[in-house]
Parts: sequence; structure tokens; C-alpha cells
Amino acid sequence: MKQKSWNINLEEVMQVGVHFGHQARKWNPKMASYIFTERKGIHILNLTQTARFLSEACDLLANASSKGKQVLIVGTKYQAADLVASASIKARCHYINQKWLGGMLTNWSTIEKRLQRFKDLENKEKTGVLNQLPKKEAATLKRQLVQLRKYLGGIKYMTSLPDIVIIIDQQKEITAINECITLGIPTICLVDTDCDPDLTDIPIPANDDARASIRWILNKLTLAISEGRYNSIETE
Amino acid sequence: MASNAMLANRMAAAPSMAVPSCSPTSAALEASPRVCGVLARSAAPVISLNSAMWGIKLQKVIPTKWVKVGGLNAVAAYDDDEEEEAEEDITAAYEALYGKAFEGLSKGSSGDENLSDDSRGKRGGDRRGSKNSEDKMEERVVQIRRVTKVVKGGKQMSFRAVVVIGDKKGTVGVGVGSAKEVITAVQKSATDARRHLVTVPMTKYLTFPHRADGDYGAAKVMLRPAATGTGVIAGGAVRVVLELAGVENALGKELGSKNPLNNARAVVEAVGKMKQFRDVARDRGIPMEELWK
Repeated sequence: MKQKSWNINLEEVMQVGVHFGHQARKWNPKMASYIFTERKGIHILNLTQTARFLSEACDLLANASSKGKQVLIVGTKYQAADLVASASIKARCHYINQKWLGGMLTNWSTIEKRLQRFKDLENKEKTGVLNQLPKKEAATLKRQLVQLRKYLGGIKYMTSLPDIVIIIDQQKEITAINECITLGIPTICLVDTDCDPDLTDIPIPANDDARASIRWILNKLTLAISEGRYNSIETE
Repeated sequence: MASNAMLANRMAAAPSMAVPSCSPTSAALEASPRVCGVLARSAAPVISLNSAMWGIKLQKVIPTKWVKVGGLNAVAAYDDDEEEEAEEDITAAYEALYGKAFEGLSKGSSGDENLSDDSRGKRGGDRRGSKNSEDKMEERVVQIRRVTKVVKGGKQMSFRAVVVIGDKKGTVGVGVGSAKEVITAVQKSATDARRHLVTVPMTKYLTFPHRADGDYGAAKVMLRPAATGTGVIAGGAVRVVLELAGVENALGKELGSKNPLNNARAVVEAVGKMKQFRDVARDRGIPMEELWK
């Protein structure tokens, strides 16, 4: 596999604010090797490490998507929700940006049933069956559809467990991480200074609070995914 | 908006935007364009790709020949304002990649590709428990007891089943499950057993490579290999596990507690500690004969 440079410019990264960690007293000591220093009570992350892990992650994603593997992006933080949706739509990945329902991966057979119901309701809506039902039933079904769309909209096209999972905030999505660990699915996770880098396969030390930082990182990752897919189609 | 202000700042501050000069040779060499290898819908890809998309710097040239990749009509630029895709295009692109979602529940076959790991075991027992009968594992019930949950209204009975699964060729698993009815409990425990399978290292005489002890909770089990023709000499749960593993000659003794579930799990533990002679020799880097001196 040829080495690619993913065009990570450290000055630009700093402008975006990727290097800011959380407050010093909330740190996880396992992150000590990724922390550069402490300024004014806030830990600053070491950007060279970020760049290294990010390029590793991008290589992995490009490789995987060129082989047709499925990627899931999980980000339920308020700041990250719409970024996750737009990034994964552009990269044609699955995403979860509302609450991570417990057992989404470990209890996949139950979630499948919900997705089937989602599909049925969407078909009904498209063919206009809903308009022929009495008002109350139509309203209930529409409400169900809205709920399903809200929570499962991003994984509509997922037919089996994903091959790689990208997680935005480790502390917030700790259930998601645990599920991936039980199932043995490799994860790429944005770790901040209060997270545990050993839980995930590729930790990317970065700021998980700022929108610009999340957007920049997602940018790079989705670029890698799309490039991998494009490469695979070109070589076919 | 703050983000737009930031964008503007960065646009001003980064004058070194690489203007893509058209050198077709370099373009041809690098197979994929720098930014998200799928092309924009607009007529001027160069300009849209080049503008300050959060400061993405272009190093390589964008190839001017456009490849319409079937269905993948995504925007190359990650700009918020430009190129909002219509929903049908998004749907079409997704369907091209992943196939129409859930045309009909595919009877559990959709999850099959991910089930090859032994460690993850089978997701089985889904809609009709059909998966449980598909692999050729023999099940044997070790224990069924009635357990009670006491609530305000009285006692709620249910059944707990301990089941051992094995294929008599070296794979065993112990599972436990409880339910209101015996049959359901047995099915649940079979599913659970499939999730916790281990392989038993066996010699060609269908016995263990060496002595091993295992414990789980207060149950301690001692396993010892035996010569051909001995048969399995062990009690209760230990016997069931060894028989379903396909071990033909072994001695086993339950020291400590006699609880069947714990003893079965202790056997699994003990078996996990065993190593084959050839693996030890390989790890130590010495020929196998050395080990028997």
C-alpha cells in the first residue's frame, strides 16, 4: 500500500483549535504521553501525535473502504450532531447522531426489526397509504415514522454490523465503545484529555468540544473514506 | 456565525492556496484527485475545490477528465454553502453502495459475515432459534432447577438451565439461561453456550497433552490424561463436558464445591490453560524431542 500524505498542516490545525484539551484536573493519567503541557489550567495536546494517529486512521479507512467495508460514525454531542450527519452523507457512510440506543450493535437482531418497520412505514408514506387511513391512525404512524427517522435515520441502509466505527467523544459514547469491544469491531476514536486511549484501537488525541475541531477531523476521515472508495472503483 | 467568520479569517490568512496548474502528467500519475476523489456536479470543479474549505490546501492537480462513477455523484468539496444535494441523489448514492435497505428481512443471513469469529460465538437463536440447529453441535442439559424471585405479590418461578454444547471434535461451550418455561430456558442457554466456545487441545490418542487444574468460584477441577482404553472417568458436569469435547481417555476429579455450573466452567478454564507440545516447542524455539527429556 503506497504511503499517502493526508495533507495535515499543523498550523492550520492549531488555528482550528484541535490542540486544546480539557481542564487539567479532569484529566485521565493514561493520556500523559499525548499531552504536551499545561497552560492556565488547561492541558494542551501534542499535535505531532495527533497528526500521526490521524494519518494512521486515514490509511486504515482508505484501505478498508477500498475493499468495500462499512463505516459507522457515532457522534451524539450537541455540537457534533449535525456535523456528523453532513460528513457521513458526503462520504456515504452510516451515522448515528441522536441518542445511541443501548444494544444497537450487540442486540442487532432487534434493531433490524425496527429498521424493517422503518422501511415499511417509509414505503407506506411514499405510496400514500397513510392518507387513506383514519386521521388518528395516520397520526400515530406518522409519529412513529418521525421517531424512527430521528434515531435510526443514519443507519437506514445498514444491513449488518459495521466493520469500522468512528466515535467522536469517548466519554459520551462509552456504551458504544463497550459494545464495539464486546463484538470485536475496530474503533477509531477522538480522545480528549479526559478519555482512556487504551479502549480504542486508534485514538486520535484532539479536542472533542469545539465544532471546528470536530469538523476538521471528520473532514480528513471522510476524505480518506471517499478516496479509498474512488480508488477501488477506478481499479475495477 | 462564528464559523463563517473563522472561515473568512482563514481565507485571508492563507494566501498560499495552491492554484491548480494544469499539468496533466502529474495528474495522470496520481490516480485519485487530492480532494475526495468524486467529482462535483457543478461545471467548474477547479474553482469550487479550490476555495477555502476549512483551509484544505491542495497539493496535487485535479484531473480535468471527469469520471462519472455510477451513483457516486457526491460533492468533492466539503463546503456548507455550495452544492446542497437533493435527497433523491443521496438516496440513490446510498442505494448504489449498500443496496436497497431491508427489502425483506433476510432471515438472519445478513449478519452471517460477521459471525465467523470463534470468540464472538454465534449471535444465534434469533427469530425462531433457527441458527441453533444449523451447526452440528450436540447439546446436553447438565442441570435444570427452579428458581424463585420473591415479589410483593408472592413468588415468581422460573427455570434455569445449564447446557453444554460440543461437537465431539474438540470444541465445547457451557451456557446458562433462565426463562419461565423449561424449553425456552434450554434454548437460551444453548445460545449462550455458543457464545463461549473453547477448543480443547487433544493428542492423537484423544486425551490431554498434560495435567491441568482449573477453578471457577469455589469449584476446583483436576484433569489428567490417561492411556488409551481408559475412557472418561469423571463425575457429573465434568464428564459431560469432556464427553462432548470428544475426549475419550481422561481422568477428572471435582475438588472443592460440587456445583455443576461452576464445575463445568472450571473444566473450561482448565482446558484453556493446556498447551500442545508443538506450540510450546515452537514458542520456545526448540525441537519437540527436547521437551520429553
